[in-house]
Amino acid sequence: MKKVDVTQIIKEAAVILVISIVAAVALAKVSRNVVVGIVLGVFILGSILSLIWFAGIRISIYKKKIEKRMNEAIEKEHLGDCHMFYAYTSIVAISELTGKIAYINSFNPVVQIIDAKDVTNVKSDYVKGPLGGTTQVYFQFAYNKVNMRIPTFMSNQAFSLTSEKVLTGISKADTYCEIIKRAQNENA
Amino acid sequence: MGAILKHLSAILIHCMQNHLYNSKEQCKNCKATLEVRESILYVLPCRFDEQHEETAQYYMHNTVRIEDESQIPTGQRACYFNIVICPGCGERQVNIVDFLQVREQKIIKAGSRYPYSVLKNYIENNQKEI
Repeated sequence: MKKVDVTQIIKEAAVILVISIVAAVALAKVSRNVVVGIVLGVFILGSILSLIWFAGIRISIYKKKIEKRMNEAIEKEHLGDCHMFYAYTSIVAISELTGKIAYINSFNPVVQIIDAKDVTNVKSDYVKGPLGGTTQVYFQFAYNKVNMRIPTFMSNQAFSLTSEKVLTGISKADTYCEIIKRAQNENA
Repeated sequence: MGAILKHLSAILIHCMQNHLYNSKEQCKNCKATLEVRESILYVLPCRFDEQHEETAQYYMHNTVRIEDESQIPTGQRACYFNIVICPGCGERQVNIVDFLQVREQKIIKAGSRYPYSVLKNYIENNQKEI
């Protein structure tokens, strides 16, 4: 199971690099200074474009794509009524009826379907943050020694473990762990 | 002398506390402290932080009675129907506390108050079934 398709990321980064080089050449001609053109074009513009693409535009473009692909896969594989969880960049669908787990990530937009009974180390936990708080709550499962961690709460600030947002995240993580365990037991 | 005054003021504050600040709910008519006579637990159809309409009709049509908190499914919202009565004028009302149970903790999501007469039939029918 793969969260990120490295070849796809390299292709997209290459496109951004090409755009930056073209901009660098244009800037070098305008400024009549090759060094200025290269520095501004490749490094600064390339960095800005990468940030805008990978951290912003890409996620919103792929969000609808992965949702559509997941719905198509559920219909094609006859997974029935699934428990769907929409994380920030991924979707997890768990079918208790067929005992299967479907996973898709915007960085690897291919639906991967596995049997729930092949999954181990199902648990919910949180990432310890400063002052006893947390910045991330997640549920996880392992398949073929690869740990798949799905965040139910994420923040760039630390929140107290008794705050409403963190507790809601813990509740979601516990719920989906139970669903995975039920899917495992029903088809054991 | 200073120490005596300090102790006296502490005793006075302790005695006056019930009159100065009372966290218990009071009857609007006679200002007596309301007493909780019964707490009935129901499960709601919504999960986590989903919104729902806070009306008596919604609670009557969508809640399912359960015996104790261990029966609440993980991630499912639940609510207590607290039947409170005023010992002074006898007025009864139902305080509904909507919460999400997360392991050993509760997150209060909503609260509403209705006259007992609005939910009387629903509560009594549920008690008869059990």
